[in-house]
Amino acid sequence: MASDYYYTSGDKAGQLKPGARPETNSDDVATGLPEGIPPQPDDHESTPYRYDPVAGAWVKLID
Amino acid sequence: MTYGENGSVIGPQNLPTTSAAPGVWSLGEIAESVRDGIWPAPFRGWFATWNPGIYTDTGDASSNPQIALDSSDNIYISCSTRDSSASMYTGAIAKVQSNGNGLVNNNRFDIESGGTQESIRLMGLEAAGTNLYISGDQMDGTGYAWRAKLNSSYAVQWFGDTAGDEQYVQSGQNTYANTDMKLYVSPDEVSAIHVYYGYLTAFSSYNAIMMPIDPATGFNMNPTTSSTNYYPVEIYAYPTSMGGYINGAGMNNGRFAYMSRAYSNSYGGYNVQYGEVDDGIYSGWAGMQSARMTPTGSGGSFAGVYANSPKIGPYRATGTPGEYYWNGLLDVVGGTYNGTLYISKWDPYTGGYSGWSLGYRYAVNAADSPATPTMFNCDSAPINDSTDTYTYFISRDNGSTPTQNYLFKHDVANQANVWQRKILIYKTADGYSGTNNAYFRKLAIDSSDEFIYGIAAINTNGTDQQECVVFKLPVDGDGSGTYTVGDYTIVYEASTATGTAGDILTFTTGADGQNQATHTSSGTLTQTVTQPTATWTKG
Repeated sequence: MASDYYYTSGDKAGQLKPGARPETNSDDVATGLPEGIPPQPDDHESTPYRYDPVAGAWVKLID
Repeated sequence: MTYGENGSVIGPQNLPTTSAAPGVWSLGEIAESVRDGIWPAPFRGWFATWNPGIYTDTGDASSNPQIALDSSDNIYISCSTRDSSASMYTGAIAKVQSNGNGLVNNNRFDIESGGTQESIRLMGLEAAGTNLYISGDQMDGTGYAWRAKLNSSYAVQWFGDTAGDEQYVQSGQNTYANTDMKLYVSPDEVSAIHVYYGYLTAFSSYNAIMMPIDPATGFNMNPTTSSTNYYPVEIYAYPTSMGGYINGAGMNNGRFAYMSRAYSNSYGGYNVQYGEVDDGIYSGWAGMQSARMTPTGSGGSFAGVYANSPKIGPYRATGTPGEYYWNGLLDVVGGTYNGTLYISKWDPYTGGYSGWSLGYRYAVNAADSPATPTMFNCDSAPINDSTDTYTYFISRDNGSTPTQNYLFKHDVANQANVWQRKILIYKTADGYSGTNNAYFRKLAIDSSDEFIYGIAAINTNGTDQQECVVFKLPVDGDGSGTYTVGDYTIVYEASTATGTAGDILTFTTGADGQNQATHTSSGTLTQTVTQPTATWTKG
């Protein structure tokens, strides 16, 4: 079964064909936080937090 | 014909179940079959609790449970166990008798540095062949991720990487794991991807890494050590300080895929980023097909509609195109379908990044619960049976007082529910009206597609418990009832979540990721396996 998106034989089998891969923002990296998001907790470098958009707060990921 | 086997009917055998006895039965046969326990057929599944017996003081608790079946259907379970007074974690692994009557063995897995016990969490358990692949993190000091391979006797086959036993996304920066960001291994033990996350100073946030490793050695396959084109990949947010995490991942014998609740300013905030690649991540980010979606409906806006903790499970077919197929499971937040649980098949081989179809969504029915739930949550990935005919998944509602779980048998190809059951767990003495939660972090199915298995960490009446709840349930959905399991009551019965077929996904490009270049391995650790006395109680 041929695929429009993947090589199916040869040394590139399983790899995406040119043009099949969505573009990315890999070369366009912005740092900082978006407007309206509170600052990360002071200990965020040692303790992982993830922003909870429902709670509107940074939530600790470990005990 | 032996009585009780076919109800006096000549032809294909009709076996009685717990609820039906097909065929034509004489009164005598009925009496004999009831007398001999042939019909109603006894419930072939079980519910049980497991306390690994490592930290057993008041306040100690178990978390991050995992379950896996090896190639002979031996049942393995694991968890992290916490000593609350010492703020110390360690790992537990056990092997369960198939009939649920007890444990074959019970083990404590410790990691030491310089002869001193490390505070480690065991959060990933995969069985392949007759081997066990475990992974987790360390919680004391600068956190690190770890991975190991054990044989069926729990002897360590390898631990860590050739460059060191502690895995970091960046040297000197805290690195962690969870029950989604863990070590994944292909069933044929040819490939493995170690997923973990850590702090990146350049991004001022925590970001996940997907690291291809050799399951025979544990070594990463990055060009710096093996001169190949297998690259680790990281994903991140836009802007980067929002962090990049993986909520769900899976792999089969050919492919690996992930899903993430991702933030991007360019797409109105949160959405779902997902990707798929060969099981060695050949060519790294350039070889990964990664994109964005929102469960908002065809042509809908990305703004504010996402899945809170999306999961993805592989199809089990081998070769092309079966190994490219995935089932995504989304707990939708925002928009028209807010609160629903949505399952859809992804066929990137035929349809590329937008090749999702056969969607079906479930809406929680408050009448199923003593509380008033409005949403479904995802805690574990969907699993397929061996022929990819049926998919099983479990979801937790947000009732809180109590929260229930819902187990679904779903026919993806025909966009149809086969059956659904709710599971309520509480301490009998406390009743169910307090805060009660069960977190089922992994499901498994046996090789003959007869039983599904699950394990949960539990919080009853607002308190994390030392016991994990383990179940083995027949795939026909039999066994509804109320089970007393030691101090706990478990109610397993039909539920009525509303199901609706239809595709609700909208897609775009613009995924954020790149080859991960700052990862390091360092340190030397030792491991010990001992056998504490566990408490196993079958209901």
